[in-house]
Amino acid sequence: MKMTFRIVFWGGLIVFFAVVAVAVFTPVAVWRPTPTDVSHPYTAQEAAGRTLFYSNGCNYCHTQYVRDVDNAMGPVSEAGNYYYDNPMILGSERTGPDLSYVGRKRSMQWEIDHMRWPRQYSPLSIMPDFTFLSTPQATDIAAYLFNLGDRSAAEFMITPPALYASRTLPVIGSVVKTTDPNAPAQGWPTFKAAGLYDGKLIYASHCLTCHGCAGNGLGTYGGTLIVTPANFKVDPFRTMPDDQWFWHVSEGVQGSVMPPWKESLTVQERWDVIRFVQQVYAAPFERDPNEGSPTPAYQKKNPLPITIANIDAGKRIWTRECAVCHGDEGKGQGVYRQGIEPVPPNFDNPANYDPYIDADYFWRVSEGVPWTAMPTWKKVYTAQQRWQLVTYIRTMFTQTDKKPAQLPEAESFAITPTERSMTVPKGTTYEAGRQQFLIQCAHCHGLAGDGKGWDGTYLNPAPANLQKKLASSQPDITEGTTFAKVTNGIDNTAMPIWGEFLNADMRLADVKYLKDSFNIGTGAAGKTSHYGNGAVPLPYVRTDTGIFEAEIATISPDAGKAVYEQYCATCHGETGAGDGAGAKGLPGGAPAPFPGPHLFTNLKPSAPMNLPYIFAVTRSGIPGTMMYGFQPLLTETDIWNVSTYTLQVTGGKFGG
Amino acid sequence: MLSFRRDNSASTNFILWAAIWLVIGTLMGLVLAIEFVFPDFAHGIPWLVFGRLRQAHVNTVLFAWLSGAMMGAWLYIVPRLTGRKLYSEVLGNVSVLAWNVALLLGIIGILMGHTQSREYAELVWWVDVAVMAVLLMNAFNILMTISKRVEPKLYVSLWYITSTVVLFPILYFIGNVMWNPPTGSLTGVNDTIFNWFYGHNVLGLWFTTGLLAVIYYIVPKETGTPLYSMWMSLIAFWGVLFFYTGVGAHHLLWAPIPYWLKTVAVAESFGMIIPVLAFMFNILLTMRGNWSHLRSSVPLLYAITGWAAYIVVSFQGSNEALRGVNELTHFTQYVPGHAHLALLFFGASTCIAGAYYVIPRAFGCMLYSRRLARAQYAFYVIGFAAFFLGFLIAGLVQGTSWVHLGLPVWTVLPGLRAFMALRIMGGVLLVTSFVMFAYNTIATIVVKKPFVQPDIVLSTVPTVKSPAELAGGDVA
Repeated sequence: MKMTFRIVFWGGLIVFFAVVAVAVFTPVAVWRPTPTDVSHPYTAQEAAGRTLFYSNGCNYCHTQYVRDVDNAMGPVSEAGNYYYDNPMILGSERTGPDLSYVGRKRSMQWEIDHMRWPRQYSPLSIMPDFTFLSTPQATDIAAYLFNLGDRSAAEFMITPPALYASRTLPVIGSVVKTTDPNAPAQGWPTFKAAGLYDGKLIYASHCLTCHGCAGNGLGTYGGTLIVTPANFKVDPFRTMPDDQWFWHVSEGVQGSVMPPWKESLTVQERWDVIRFVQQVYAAPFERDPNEGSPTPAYQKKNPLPITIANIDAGKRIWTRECAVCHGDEGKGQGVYRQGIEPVPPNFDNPANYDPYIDADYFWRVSEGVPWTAMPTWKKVYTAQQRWQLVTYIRTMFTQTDKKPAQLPEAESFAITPTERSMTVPKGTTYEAGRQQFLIQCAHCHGLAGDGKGWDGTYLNPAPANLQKKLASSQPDITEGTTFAKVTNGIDNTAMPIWGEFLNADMRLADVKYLKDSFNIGTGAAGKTSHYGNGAVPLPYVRTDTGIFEAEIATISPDAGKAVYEQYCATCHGETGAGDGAGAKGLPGGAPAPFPGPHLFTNLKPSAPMNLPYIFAVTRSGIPGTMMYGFQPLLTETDIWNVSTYTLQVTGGKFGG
Repeated sequence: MLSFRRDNSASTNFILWAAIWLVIGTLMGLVLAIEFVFPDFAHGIPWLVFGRLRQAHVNTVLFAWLSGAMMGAWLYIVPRLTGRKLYSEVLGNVSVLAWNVALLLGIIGILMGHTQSREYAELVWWVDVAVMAVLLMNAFNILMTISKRVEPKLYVSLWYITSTVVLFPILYFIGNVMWNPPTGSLTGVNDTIFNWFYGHNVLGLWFTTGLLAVIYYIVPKETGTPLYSMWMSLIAFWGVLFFYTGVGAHHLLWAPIPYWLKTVAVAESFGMIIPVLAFMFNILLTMRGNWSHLRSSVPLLYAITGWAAYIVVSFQGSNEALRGVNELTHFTQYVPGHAHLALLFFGASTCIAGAYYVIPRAFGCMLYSRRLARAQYAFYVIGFAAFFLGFLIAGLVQGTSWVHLGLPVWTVLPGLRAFMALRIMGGVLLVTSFVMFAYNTIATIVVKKPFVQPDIVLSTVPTVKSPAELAGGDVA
C-alpha cells in the first residue's frame, strides 16, 4: 500500500467518521432517556448553586453516579436522572463521597457549615475549606445539594423496585379499615383480629425509640439524629401507598439509620407493623375503643410501697416517655398530642378516677389501648418500672393514692458537687431560655413565674412561685443549684426530671432565663425598652389580614379576648396598664402600660401601636425582655386574634 | 526569537513558551499533591482551591505545555521531511502568539471560576474559538507545506501529523459541543458520551498520533537506521485511527448509557493492543544493535523512554477498560495514575526529546549541558517512579476497600495518606527535573555553544603478536 497524501487525508477522515458514526452519533440519535422521579428542573437558586458547584470543581472529587457495585450509596443511577443537567457533571474521580442522593440527608445549614469547615463536621475529610464563598453563594450551593437525589424525590415519590412494586397489604381479619366514624365500638377483639396488636407490639419494640410513641419521628433517640425519622402524620407518609411502605420497611431508607428490617422481621411481621402505623398514625380517626376490663392476668394490686424513691423512678419514665403526649402536668396537653386520636386523658379531676384501681392503670400501661397511640410498654419496661409509673400517676395526678409527707422545702435531695459548680456558659442567650421556659415551664409556673400557670393549679404541691423563691436571698440559690433542680426535678412533686428530656444546653438556657428574670439585679429583663425601637421586622409589615382570614379563620378581637386573658393579662393587666397580678413581684418591674395614641408621637405620628407591630412582637417576642414570642404556643390565627384585641385595648380600632 | 520570519522561529517559539508552561503546570500539580495530604495548605485562597486548580493544572500541561511543545516539534520536523521551508513562518508565529495568549487567559479564567467543568473541555467557549482558530491555522500551514513538498516520499511521521491536524479540529468541535454556547454542552446524559469521546481522543488522536510522529522521526534519525518495517507502520497507523476513535465510552462503563456502546468501547480499547504491538516491535527492531546510541544521544534517550511508557500505558489502558478490572479501578486514584503515565511519562518524555532535538539544531549550536540533561533524567525517572507508585497503590487500596470490603469513601482516606505523601516526594523531584529542563533549553539559546565535532581519540592499537611470538619463539 503506497501511502499518498490523499490516502492519508481522506482515508483518515473516512475511518474517523465511520467510528464516530457508530460510537457517538448513533447513541445520541437512539438514546433518549425520559425523566425519572429523581430528576427535577432546577430553580433559579439551585441552578446558580449548581454553576458555583462545578465552577469550583466540586465534581472533580465528588461523583454523581452510583454503580451497581457500590455499597450503600443509593439506587443505581438511571439515565433519566440527568434529564435536566447541562453540563453533565458525573465526575470521574471519587475522592469524596458520591453526591447523587445527598439531598435532605443533612440540613442546608449543615451543608454550608461543612463546606466552610469540613474537618469540624467530618474529621476524616480532606476537602478544602470554602471560606471564600459568600453566604449567598454557599446558600445557593447548599440549596442545590439539598435538592439532589431521591430524598428530594420524596416529594416526587420514587417508585419501588420491581421486587416491591405494587404489593399491597394482605387482608387479615374482618375489619381492617373503618371509614365510618359512627361504626360500632371497636375494642380489643376487632383490634387483635385485624392483626394490629401484633403490629403494635413490634412498633413498641422496634420503632418506638426513633419514630416516637406519637409517630412524629421525635422519639427519644430520633431527636439525636441528623436525618430525622419519618413523621407519619405528614405527607408523603400520610398517604403513602402500601408498596412504598413495604419497600422502605424491608430495605431501610438510604441515607438514614432506618434499618433494612427484612433482616430480622418476617414478611408477616413487616405487614403487621405497617398496618398498625397506617391505622393509628398515618390516617387515624376517632373511634370508641371500648376496651373492656383488665384481663385476669392483670388483676393485681400495686406490689410496691408508695415511697419517694418509687415516685421518683416513675417520674423519670414519665418525663422521658409520657409527658410528650400526656403533658408533664398530666392533663393530656403534651407537645406532641396534635394529631393523636383519641386524645390522651386529662388526669386532673380525682373524682373521675375514683373508681379506677391499680390494675386499670397497670393494664393500660402494659398493653396499651386499642386503636390509640398508647404503646404496649411491657415491651420496653419491666413490671416494676410500670408499677412505679402507676404509683407516680396515682399520687401526683389523679391523687387517688396518698403521697408521702412533704419534706421540708420539698427539695431535700443531695446536689452533687458537679452540679453545684455548673455555671451558665457565655454563649447562652437569654431569649433561648425564655422560649424554653414558655414551652416547658410557663404552663405550670406561669408566664410571670408566679406559680399560677393555667395547667398547674391542681397539682399538690402547687408549682413554685419563682419570683418569691428566687428573690428571697437564700444563699443556696446559685446557677449550679438551679441547674440541679431543673435537671433532677423536685422530689415528691410533679416537677419533671428535665435531665431525662432536655439536653444540658437547653437546661442551662433555662437557668439563665430564671436567674436574669427572677433574680434581682442580675436580669436582662427591664434593661431594654419594653417597646423595642418600634421597628417591625419586614415580613410582618402587612395590614392585609384578609389573606389570613381567607386561609385559616375569621380574625376577630372577640376571639382574641380569651387568649389575652390566659396569656397576656397576668403581666399587662386587663386594660394594658401593666398592672397584672403576676407582674407585681417581678424584680425587673412590671411592663409599662401600652402606649396610647398620644404616647407614640415620637415614633409613629398619629398611630398607636399598630397591628403589624403588635403581631410581630406577640409572635416573636422582644429581644432582651421577658416578652415571649408566642409562636410555639399559639396558632397564627390566635396570634392575629389576640393582636387585634390588644389593639382595641389600647384604643385602636380593628377592621371597618 | 524576535524575528517572525527566521526559519524555524515558530517551532522554537512554541517550544520555549511550552518549557515555561511546563514548570508552571507541574508546580500547580505539586500544590494539588500537597493539598491531598494537607488540605488546609491553601486555606481560604479561592484560586488555589483543589477543584479549580486541578482544572487549571490539566489544561496547562495538556494544552499549553504538551500541545505547544508538540506543535513546535512538528513545525521543525515537517520542513525536514518535505525538503522545503515551512509554508508560512509568520502564520506559525501568529499561531504561537494566539495559542499562548488564549490559554493564558483561559487558565486564569479557570482559576477565577470560569469553566465548563467538562473534563478536558473546561475552557470556556470563546477560548475554544481561539483554540480552534489556532488549530485551523496550524493545520493549514502544515498541510500546505506537505502538499507542496519537494521530497516525493511521504514519511510515516507525516502520515501521523497530517491526520492529526485534520482530525483534531473536527474532534475539538464535536467534543466541545461548540455549536451550543455558552455551556458548550448537551443537556442530559448524552453529553457524557460527547465529553468522553473527546476527552479520551485528546490523548488518542492528538497526543498519541502527534507524538508517535516525533518518535518515528527521532529514532531513525538519531540511530541512523531506517524504520524496520513499512507494514508494521501501516498496521499501527490505521489501527490507531480505527481503534482509538471509539474508546471514549470506556470511561462510562458504569454510567447509564447504552450497554452496546460500552461493549463497543471495550472492544475498541482492547483492539488497541494491535497497533501498539506493531509500533512496539517496529521501534524495538529499529533499535536492534543501536542501543548504545542511548549513551550519546539525549533526544533518543527521552524518545525511547517515551516509547517504553507508551507501550506500558497502552497495555495498562486496554486492561483497565475490561469490565472486571474497571469495576475495581474506576473512580480511584489508579485512573489519574494511568493518565500521568500517559501524559507525563509518555507525553512529556517525547516532548522533551523533541525540544532537546529541535532547539540546538534550529539555532545551530550545542545543547547547553548534556550533563544537566542526564542529571535531569535521573530526577525524572526516580521522581516519576515514586509518583506513579503513589497513584497506583492508593488506587488499588481505594478500589478494593470500596468494592471488596464495602467501606464508605471517606473512611478509606486516612489509609491513603502515606501514598499521597509519596506523590509529593516524587512530584518535588519531577518539578526539579523540569526546572532543569527549562533552564537547559533557555540557556542553550542564550549561550549558543558553538557546535564542535567531538574529537575522535584513537587509542593506540596494541601490536598483535603471533602465536609463535607468544610462545616466545623467533619470528623467522
